[in-house]
Amino acid sequence: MASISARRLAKELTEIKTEGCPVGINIVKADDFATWWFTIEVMGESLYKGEVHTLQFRFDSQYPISSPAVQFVVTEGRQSPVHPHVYSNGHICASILGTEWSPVLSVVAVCVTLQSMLASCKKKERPIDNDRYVRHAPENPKKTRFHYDGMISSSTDARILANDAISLVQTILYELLKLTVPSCNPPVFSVPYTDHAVINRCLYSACRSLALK
Amino acid sequence: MKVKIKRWHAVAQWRWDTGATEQDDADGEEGDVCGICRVPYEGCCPSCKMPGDDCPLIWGECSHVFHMHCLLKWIGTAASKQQCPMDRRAWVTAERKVGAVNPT
Repeated sequence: MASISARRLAKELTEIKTEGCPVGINIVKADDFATWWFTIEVMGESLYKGEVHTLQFRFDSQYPISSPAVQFVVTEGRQSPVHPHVYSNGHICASILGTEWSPVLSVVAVCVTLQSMLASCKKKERPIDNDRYVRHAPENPKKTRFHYDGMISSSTDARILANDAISLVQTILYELLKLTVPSCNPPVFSVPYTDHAVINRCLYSACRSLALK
Repeated sequence: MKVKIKRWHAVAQWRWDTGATEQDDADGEEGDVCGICRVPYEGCCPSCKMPGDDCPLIWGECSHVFHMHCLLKWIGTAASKQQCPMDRRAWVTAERKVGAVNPT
């Protein structure tokens, strides 16, 4: 398998083995070019002092053109850090893993970014929509269309509140829909509150399904 | 005395004119690889077998350089939003001026 990803990952691995990882980041396993595990630890004073978390990277054959699927490992006694952008199932809402991915980024660059995301955290709390998200989350976080909010941990932020209200409406509609149309799709996650079209479509199809009954 | 050359062996070296000066080169090898595949410019992209004219470089107006095939692969995805991978500015392919910097 001499795919694009294998060649690039082999180079990254050689670099890691010769130059070592940045402080606080350690390689756990990288036995193939499909799944790598790293531990990350925030050095110095932070809310995560003394905690060690494990990051899982999954690559497809198009890496680095396509982004890796990155999440915290929540099995084998490992836990995801309590952070406003990290769900309890390990999924991470970070723009560089989604719309802001660039092929010049690397595995180590992602580790360092997530390490600094933890280091700069002001309050340990789960995302507001954690329970709802985890209930319906796809297995691969890349399938989630996250809404990236620039402001972290401002729970009074109108955008988050609006988003949360929309999420609630969606959940209720979904539950209602399931009663009438068992095969319906789960709602779109974390829709930007400005995206009225999506909400309207959702409401429209829900009402129509209910009216049909 | 008469010398008769029976056999000769020529060695040549080539490199892309990336507009980088000798000083830039001295700063380290890091600048000499394509940021996407991490293969030297003088090597070829992962899809090609032979370096050279069949696997050329592409210059952006933002001054960033990549293997053309690597960049086109990225620009061809919706995720790229047609932006340069280095600075996320809209990608505009620069008109290549061969020898403009280095008139030799």
